[in-house]
Amino acid sequence: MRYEIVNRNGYAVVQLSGDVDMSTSPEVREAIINSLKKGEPVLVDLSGVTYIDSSGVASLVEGYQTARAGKLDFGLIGVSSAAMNVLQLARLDKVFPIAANVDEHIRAVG
Amino acid sequence: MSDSILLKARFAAAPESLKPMRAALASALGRAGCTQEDVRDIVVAVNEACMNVIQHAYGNGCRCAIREFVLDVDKIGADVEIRITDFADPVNPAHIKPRSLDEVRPGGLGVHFIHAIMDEVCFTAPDDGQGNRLVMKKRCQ
Repeated sequence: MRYEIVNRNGYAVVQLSGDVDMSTSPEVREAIINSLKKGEPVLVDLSGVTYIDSSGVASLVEGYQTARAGKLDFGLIGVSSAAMNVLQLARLDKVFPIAANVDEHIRAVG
Repeated sequence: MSDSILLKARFAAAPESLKPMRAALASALGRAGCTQEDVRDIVVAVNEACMNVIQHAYGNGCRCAIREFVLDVDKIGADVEIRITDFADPVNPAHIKPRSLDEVRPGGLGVHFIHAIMDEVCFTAPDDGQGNRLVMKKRCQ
């Protein structure tokens, strides 16, 4: 798994690629939470995710909850089919704001 | 359809084992003619079960001499049977239940994934009576 954080339109975009599993999800959690702690809204780009397990999903849920507590925007973009399958299993596809890309997310939140 | 052994492999009970475990499992299921969807789903369920072994069976202060698990995958007719055997202290299967998804919180999703994907899930006693053995079956398309 690799990740990179880039700034797009005021959002910290955490771009993940590869397998997000028990051995790599702590890094993902840290990247998301650290950005939120800086007061930045966060979008997690899952377009390059080839696999995600429940520990990876837990990192996303923790980010979502931390963002809500801090009144910061949070969402998922470019969700790969592998990631979407797991989000649907967890019935979280109706919980997370999900968009194709940063622009679509911005349009959706108005 | 003949019965066959698809995979028998032993892994260290460590997070780093999960990726090679998934690769070996997906390859074996693919060779057996399982659909891409079945392969994807079975890999998700087995990964979660192996995570539970690493995190819970061998966590919680287990002073086990062997920290490994064995993955057996057989094709029995149209079913894929998967057995995950560990050498940790016995767990109480009654304590391993899926949680409600109504509450949005991190953690506790793995058992739900396993039950949502697999057709049968049960614990049986390992052959030598030590450790735990989870048996899961999936009727493939």
